[in-house]
Amino acid sequence: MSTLLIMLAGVVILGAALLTVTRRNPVRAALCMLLALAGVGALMLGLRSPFLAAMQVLLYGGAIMVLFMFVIMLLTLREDEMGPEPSDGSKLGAACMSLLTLSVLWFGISRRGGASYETPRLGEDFGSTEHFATFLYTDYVVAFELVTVLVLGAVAGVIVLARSKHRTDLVRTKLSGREEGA
Amino acid sequence: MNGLTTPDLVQMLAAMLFCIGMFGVLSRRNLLIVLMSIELMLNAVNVSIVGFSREMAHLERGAAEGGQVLVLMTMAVAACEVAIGLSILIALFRHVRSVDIDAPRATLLRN
Repeated sequence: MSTLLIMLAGVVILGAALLTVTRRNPVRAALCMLLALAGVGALMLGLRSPFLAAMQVLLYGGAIMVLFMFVIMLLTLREDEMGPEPSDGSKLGAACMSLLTLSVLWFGISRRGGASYETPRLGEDFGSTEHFATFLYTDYVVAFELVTVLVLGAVAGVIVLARSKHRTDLVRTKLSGREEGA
Repeated sequence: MNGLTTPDLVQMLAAMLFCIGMFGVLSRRNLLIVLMSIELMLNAVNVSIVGFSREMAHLERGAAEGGQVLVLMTMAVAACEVAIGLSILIALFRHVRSVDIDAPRATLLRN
């Protein structure tokens, strides 16, 4: 049952991912990526991580994809603004590089042995939200707090980047005026 | 499947997803698609970590849960990365009027 779900999700993920990287229209690419992300969520469900599956759908399928769609709709790119199609040479080079990487990874995976999901002592609560939260807020609470700092830094960075030049100049004149006044 | 176990299947799937994302990053010129491909690569790593976490679930308490917490951290980092990346994209679009990463004025930072 679990293997079937994993294989099914795998087919969906790989197909949708291939469509994502080959579509010219960004909206179509984003919708294909949404399908791939949903597939990853299903895969996590098959690997007994329901909390992570929910987070995958909420964070990736919800927040990140909405951000992507928002930017795509905001820019409403014309054909000439997206740049030309990649040349066949660059496609071939990229395909060779990724196939090389894949063969190295494939070699490593096929050489490791003895991996199985046969786990007689697997706890009933493994992967449940309660079990997960117990670890998140005890053993890994420092990492959790550090991530909040990272998110704060990202928010500050986005605000700085999103400011228009005109607006920055306005603030600068105001600040310099205040300094002269003081 | 000639002796391929389910854990290996998951790891192979993650490797293939990673390489598809890598192909997108290397071949595409549209910055939006490049960012999406990076997201696919991050997702592949998440799949791999969850697979390893599931493999180690029978070890002593706490051995496998670290992997799941790590995936949550990766998701938070990915969200930050997308927010910053998209705002850089908008800033670039304002200056160059294009999302082509090889556009004449988009490559100013390279040299």
